[in-house]
Amino acid sequence: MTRYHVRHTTVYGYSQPVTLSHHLARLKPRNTPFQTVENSTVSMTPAPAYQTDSTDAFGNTATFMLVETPHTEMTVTSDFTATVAMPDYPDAKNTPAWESVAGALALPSAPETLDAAVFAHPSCFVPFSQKAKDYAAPSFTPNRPVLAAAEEIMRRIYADFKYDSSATSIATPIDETLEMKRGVCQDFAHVGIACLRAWGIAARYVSGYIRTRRAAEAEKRGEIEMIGGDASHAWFSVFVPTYGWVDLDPTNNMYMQTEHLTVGWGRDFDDMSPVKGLMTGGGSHTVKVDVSVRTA
Amino acid sequence: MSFLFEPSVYNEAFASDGTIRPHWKPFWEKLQENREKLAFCSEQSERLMHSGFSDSAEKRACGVVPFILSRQDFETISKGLIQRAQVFNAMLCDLYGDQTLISQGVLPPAAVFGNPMYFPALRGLTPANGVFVQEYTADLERSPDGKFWVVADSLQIPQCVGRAVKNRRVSTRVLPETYAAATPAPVSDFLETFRRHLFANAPSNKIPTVVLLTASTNRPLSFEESYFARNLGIVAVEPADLTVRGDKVFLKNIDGLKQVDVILRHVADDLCDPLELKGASMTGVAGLVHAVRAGTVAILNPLGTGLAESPVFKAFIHGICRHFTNSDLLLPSIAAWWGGQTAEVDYLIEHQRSLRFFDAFTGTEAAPSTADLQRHPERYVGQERVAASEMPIVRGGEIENARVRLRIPVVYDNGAYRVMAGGLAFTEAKDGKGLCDVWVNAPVSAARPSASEKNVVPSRTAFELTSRIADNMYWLGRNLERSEQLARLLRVALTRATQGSDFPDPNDVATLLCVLALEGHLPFADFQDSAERENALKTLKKIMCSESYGFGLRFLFKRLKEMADQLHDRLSMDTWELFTALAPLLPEESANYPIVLNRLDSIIVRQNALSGLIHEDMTRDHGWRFLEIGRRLERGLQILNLLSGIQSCKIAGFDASLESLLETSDSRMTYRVRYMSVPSVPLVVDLLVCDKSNPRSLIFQVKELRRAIVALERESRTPSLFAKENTILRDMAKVLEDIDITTVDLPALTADLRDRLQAFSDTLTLSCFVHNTSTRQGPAYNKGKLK
Repeated sequence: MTRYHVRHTTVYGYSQPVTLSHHLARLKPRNTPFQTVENSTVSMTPAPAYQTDSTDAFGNTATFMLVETPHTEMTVTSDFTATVAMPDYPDAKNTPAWESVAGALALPSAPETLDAAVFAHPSCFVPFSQKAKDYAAPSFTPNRPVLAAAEEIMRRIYADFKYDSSATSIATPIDETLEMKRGVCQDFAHVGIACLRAWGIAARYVSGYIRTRRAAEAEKRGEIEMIGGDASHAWFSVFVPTYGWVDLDPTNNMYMQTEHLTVGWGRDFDDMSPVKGLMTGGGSHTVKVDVSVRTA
Repeated sequence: MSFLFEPSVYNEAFASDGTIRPHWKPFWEKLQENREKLAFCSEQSERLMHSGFSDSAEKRACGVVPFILSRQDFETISKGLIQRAQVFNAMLCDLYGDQTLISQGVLPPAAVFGNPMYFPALRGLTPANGVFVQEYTADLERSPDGKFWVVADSLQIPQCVGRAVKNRRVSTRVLPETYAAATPAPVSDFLETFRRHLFANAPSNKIPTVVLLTASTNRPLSFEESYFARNLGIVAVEPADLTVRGDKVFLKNIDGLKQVDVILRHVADDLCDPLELKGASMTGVAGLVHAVRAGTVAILNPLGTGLAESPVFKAFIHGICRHFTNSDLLLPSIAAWWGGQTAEVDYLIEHQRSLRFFDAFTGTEAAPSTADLQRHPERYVGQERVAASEMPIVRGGEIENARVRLRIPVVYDNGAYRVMAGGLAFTEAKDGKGLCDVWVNAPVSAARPSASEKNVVPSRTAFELTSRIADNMYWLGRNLERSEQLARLLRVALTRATQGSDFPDPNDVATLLCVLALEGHLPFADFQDSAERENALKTLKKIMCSESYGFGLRFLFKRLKEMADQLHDRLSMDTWELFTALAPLLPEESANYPIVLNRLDSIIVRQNALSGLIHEDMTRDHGWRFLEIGRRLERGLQILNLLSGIQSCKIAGFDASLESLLETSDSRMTYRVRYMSVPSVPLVVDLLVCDKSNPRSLIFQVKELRRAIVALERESRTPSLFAKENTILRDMAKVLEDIDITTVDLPALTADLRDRLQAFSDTLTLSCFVHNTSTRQGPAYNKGKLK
């Protein structure tokens, strides 16, 4: 069990004043069987004229904010403390065959299967991709346990794709990522999801943070906290009947560990975009993101 | 009866033995009596319906022959449509709720979860009054055996009520004798039901603010939209006119924000809220879903209704109906197959030629190849075709047959569904499409002897003006005035340059060129030099005709037409047509001077007609006031330009031709009558600036501006909203009244007055139009900058 304090700051700069803006933030982390959250706050400067939380379709907390003060710089800060435990993962070899899982998701009579079924279909950022289906084909051999197939896809993405933050943008389509074999955690998560869904398996996009080794070592050596040394992170999760959801991180080639902090999940990035906004005015803009994850 | 019909097709009017069907008889007999009038009737119908609506289906005139529905057929259709509305409503409540249709295997999950029309964000949201299907229209066709089939359903943006009521008005006027003989059930009360229903949805008890939300595509309103806006007493708005503050929706009015209670929605689900309903969309009202969740606003039809329009559900409609009602559909639904079911793919491929294909989710008609069907069968729905029935129509005075499809509206009213005893009939003959009224034979007791429908109850709801409309009106006024002044300047300059004048003046052309140069149309030059003048005249033709010239007449007319289109529902038909008629009058650049002048004359005549219409025909509402403000302000600035012209001529070393300046400002006659002498600068300044009785003087414009501002101020809900504008105008009037024309420093005065007008315009923009700025999507960024 590890206890963390997380601070995630996003600073938006605008060349022209923004006179009115509406925002929807998905920054407050949710409780999970392996994560307990305390003291979660989202604050904003200039102070919003209105701020309220609601629960979205997938159970995440969404914070709606409205800024009426004209501004050229806006800061959104999320603060929280979370205690993370190591999940006890099922033995991949003993999970049900992928064909039977796909079958259950096609006729989701049990409530938990019905809840999972919405993640087995194409979504805005993860449309059906024949390329992903072909890429995933070798992992879906007959009667292969579903988690074994998903784990292999995670490992193959890690091996085949190069981390390159300059290669993609949020608008890069899956097929292009598959072509270039480059991208960031978000792209790898989307590719993993596309691979699983193409074969009828439910997969969701998980948004969160990761405690980096580098930052952990710096803290151990007594060095001061490294701003920006940690980052917001994303991975995917696969539905395994009777067990539930298993989170796999293709960027780091690992099952979710106690270094992973979950904010929430959805069908893809669009459902979990940390801060969405619509503004009047603004001109050109800059964005600066700082994330610090410290053990508490 | 020498009437031909195909026996394999059901004929609405004639039985297979050629005899007229009983419910058509009274109408048909009257029609025969009036046969020689038919050509005239068609023409009259065209005239009554004539309009500039963009949609070609809406342009269709109402046919002389109505579709006559027997009472019995109407009862059958009515029961069937009510059941269908209930089934769709139950389906939407389920899919955005417990999803038993999926968990119990009635619908495959892919039909919903893989459907881009399904929005998880809306799951669990309660629609207005708990009802999804509040209004609905169904399209029906009759097969050769006489049965009606539902071939299409419109749930998200059903449009039919307004046009049906309008058609009825036309059909009762074109041949009143036939209407009296057939006594169909009335339809206008349906509009009243619709209006009552709309207002009954307001979440609170006060008199609700109801708006019609239309898509912002800079297009004129559709017929239905403009009809509703005019007859239901609701304001037509675009997403940019609404804003969410806190958890409520507000209308950006000229005098501030006003809470909206009910939104009649003519915008698709995915374009309603960019924050919650679609990733990259920028249109819509940010936070609308949030307000719906808070229950402060009712949206009709509620957000999410679009899902039910996906053709994929047509393939499952029988099962869905049984799931909810334990019974079968009362009205048969046209057979449809979805490629997402393995067993049905083969059927689709086998019958590819005979089926109509649609995108399974969005509903757009599609023409997939066999390879498409094999690769992505789940993307398509194939639907059977009905050999639709035929009805008689009148074309050019003759009667012929046309295929017909009915559209009938249904509205939820006070706990139950009500079906209109009427609707629209779309006809399709070999050489064209048509539209006609639908008459339902009324039971004898309900028969109405009167030949004309009672008019719809006029609306008494307060007039609202959004910042966007105010802004458009203002610029319509400014551009109209600008184009008038430019046309007049060009006419005087070209006439004097090419034909001379009754009162020749050696400097007249040079003076006018100076004024045009001041307005930025020409580079300054020595206009007394004849070569330079010749050059400048060539440019004048360009100002008038060229597409590429930025602020010339062609450009101004184009802008005017665009604005008039956007303001379509606020301008009378005649006014709108005059705006449209301006641009086509402009000559080619190659035209010779006499032709150019001829055209200028025609243009000026129409501009004067426009001014007259605006003055005589338009209701004195806030919209008119903003138009007036735009015109008066622009005219004021133009007068100041003429005064500056006098100065520029002096700098250029010659005396301005006051005569020609007076002519451009339409004040020459006034001057002659008043002074009977050759114009002098002080007297001209007096006439153009200080003379209160000259409608072309600056002080007259300032007084009119003030009148409009005072009226706005009086009716505004925000106290002192127009106080600053009022002060500026009051001070300005004072300055004008105090001018001593014998000692005045003309350049200084002109500059001072120009500053004041500019200050007025800036202040007005701040108070009224500031809400009218566009929004954009904020930046999103990539996650994860580490490995």
